[in-house]
Amino acid sequence: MIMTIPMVLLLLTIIFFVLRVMPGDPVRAMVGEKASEEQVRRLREQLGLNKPYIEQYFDYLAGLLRGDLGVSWYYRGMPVTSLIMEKFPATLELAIGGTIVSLLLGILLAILAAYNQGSKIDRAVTLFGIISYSLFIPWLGILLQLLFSVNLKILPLNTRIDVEYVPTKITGLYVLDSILTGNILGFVNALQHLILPSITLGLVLTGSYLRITRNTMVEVLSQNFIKMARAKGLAERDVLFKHALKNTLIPLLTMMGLQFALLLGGAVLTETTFSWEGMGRFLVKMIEFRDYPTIQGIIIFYGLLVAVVSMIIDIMYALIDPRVRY
Amino acid sequence: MSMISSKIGSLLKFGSSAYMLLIGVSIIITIVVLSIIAPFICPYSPTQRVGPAFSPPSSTFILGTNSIGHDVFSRLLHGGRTVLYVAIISTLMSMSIGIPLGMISGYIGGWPDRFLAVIMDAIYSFPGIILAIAIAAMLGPGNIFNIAIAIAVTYIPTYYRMVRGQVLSIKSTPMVEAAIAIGAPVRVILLEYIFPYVVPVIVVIFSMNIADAILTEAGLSYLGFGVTPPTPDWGYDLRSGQPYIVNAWWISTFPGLMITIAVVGFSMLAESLNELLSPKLRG
Repeated sequence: MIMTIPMVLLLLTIIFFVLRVMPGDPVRAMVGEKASEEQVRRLREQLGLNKPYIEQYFDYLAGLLRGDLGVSWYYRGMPVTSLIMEKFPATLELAIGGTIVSLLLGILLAILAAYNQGSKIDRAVTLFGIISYSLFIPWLGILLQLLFSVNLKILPLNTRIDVEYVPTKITGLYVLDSILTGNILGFVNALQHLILPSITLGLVLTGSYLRITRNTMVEVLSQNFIKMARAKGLAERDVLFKHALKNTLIPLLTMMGLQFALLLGGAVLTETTFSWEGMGRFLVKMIEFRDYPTIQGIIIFYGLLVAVVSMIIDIMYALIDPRVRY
Repeated sequence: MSMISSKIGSLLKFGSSAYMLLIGVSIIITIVVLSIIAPFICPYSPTQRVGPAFSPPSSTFILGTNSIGHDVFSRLLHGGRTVLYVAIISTLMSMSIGIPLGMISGYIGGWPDRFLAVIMDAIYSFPGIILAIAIAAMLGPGNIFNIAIAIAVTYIPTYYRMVRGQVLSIKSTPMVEAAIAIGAPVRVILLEYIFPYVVPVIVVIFSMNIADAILTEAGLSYLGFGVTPPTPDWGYDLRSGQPYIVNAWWISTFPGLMITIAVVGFSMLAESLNELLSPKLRG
C-alpha cells in the first residue's frame, strides 16, 4: 500500500511535465481549427492552462484528492474520472472471471499434484504450470476463439454482451446487472461472453497459484495433524479439502496480491483480443488519439487500484490468520 | 555401463530439472540459430509481396501468405531476429542498471538504500506491461531502442531487489567483516567478496527476464506500440492476422506459436537453473 503511493506520485509528476512540454496546443485541438482566438483564450482560462506549470501541478494534486482527474481532450472536456468509471466495471468483471478460473484450476491441479507427489502426474502438472505462464495471451485467446466460436460455434467470438441484452446500468458489471434487473437471457448471454476471456486471462495466471499451493500442500500433508486426521478415519476428500487446503490460504492470498499487477497487465491484452471495452483497451485507444490528460488519469487510476488491492489483502490476512493482529 | 545409463535415465526423468534444462536449452539454441541464419535459409523476402494474399499453407508457401502476400514462414524466421534483439538489449539494460544499484544500495545501507528501495518497490508493484506502454508512448513507438528502454525499466526492480537481498545477507558474514577489518577497499569487497555470491541469482533472473521481455515485446507490438511495419515481428504479425482468423487461421497462429515456444524455452531454463543452482531461492 505505502509503496505504491510514491509510484503514483512519481508517475504523475513525470507524465504531467512530459505532457506540458509536448508540442501542439491541446486547447486548439479541443475546440477545432475554426474557433476564434477569444474562444481558445476563454477555454484555456477555464481549464487553468494559463497558469504557471507548477501551479497547475498542485491544482492537479488537489484535484486528485477530490477524485478529480482533469478533463479529456479527445472527448471535448468530459471529466476523465467519469470516463474511467464507465470503463472500469468491464475490467473488473474480466478480472473477477480470470481470478476465479485461475484459482479453481490452480488449486485443483495443485491438490492433484501434491497428493501424487513425485509421480508422473506431479511432474506433468509442474510442466503445465510453466507452459501456462509462458502463454502469450492474444495467441491463446485467438486459439480459443477459433475452437469455440468459429468451429464449434458454442460461445460468442468477442465483446461483452449482445446489443439487445445490454442491461440498465446499476453496477456496470453486465453479469450482475442482468440478475438484478431479472433478465435471465441477458445473464446467460453476458456469462457466455465472459467465459473465453476469463479462461484466457485465468490460464496465464494459473501457474503461480499452482506452484505455491502445491508446495505448501506437500509440506502440510507431511505434518502430524494430517496423520492424525487420517488415523481417525476421515475420508481422504475431507483431509485434502478441509484440513490441508485451509493451510494454503495464506500463501495463496500473498500470491494473489503479487499477481494483481500481472492480472491488470494481462487484462489489457485480453481486452484487446476480445474487443472487451475495458480500461486497458481505452488506454490503448487514448494513446492513439494522444489524449494526454486521459492517459495520465488512467495510469494514476491503475496505480491507485494496485494500492487499494494490497490494502485489502493486508486486511484479509488479519481475517484469515488468527495470529495476525493490527 | 548400465550404472551410467541408469544414472542418466534418472537425471532425465520426465519433468525433472535436468530434463527441463535440456529441453529449454534445445529450444533456445534452435530459435537463436534459426534467427541468425534466417537470411540464408528463407525462401522469400519477409517484407516484399511474393505471392497472392491469403494463400493457405502449400508446397510453395509452407506456412501460407498473409493479407498482403508476404510469406508467413520467411516473416516468422526474421521476426525472431527482431524479438530476440529487443529482448536481449532490454535485458542487458535492466542488468546494467539493476545489478550495480542493488549491490551499492545493499552495501551502503542507510537512507539512500531505503529511498531507493521504496522507489524500486513502487515500480515493481505497478503492472509491467502498462508501465511499458506508457513509457513507449512517451518516448515514441516504432523505434526498437525506445521499445527496449520501455521493457528494460519494468525489469530493473527485479534485479535490484534480488541482488540487494543477497548482498544484505552476505554483508554480515565473518568473511566480509574480515575483509573490512583488513582494510580492503569497497570496490574489492563488492567485486571479489560479494559479487561471486550474487552471480547465481543473476543467472536465474536473466533467463526469467528474457522470457518476460519476449512476452512484453510481443504485447507491445500486438497493441501497436512496437516496431514499424513492415518490419517482421511476431506480436505485430499476430495482430495483423487477427481480423482474418476465420478464413486464414495460419497468419496469426504461427507467430503466436513461436512466441509461446520461445518463452517456454527460457522459462524452462530459468526454472531448472533455479532448482539446480540455488535451491534456497525457490518459492
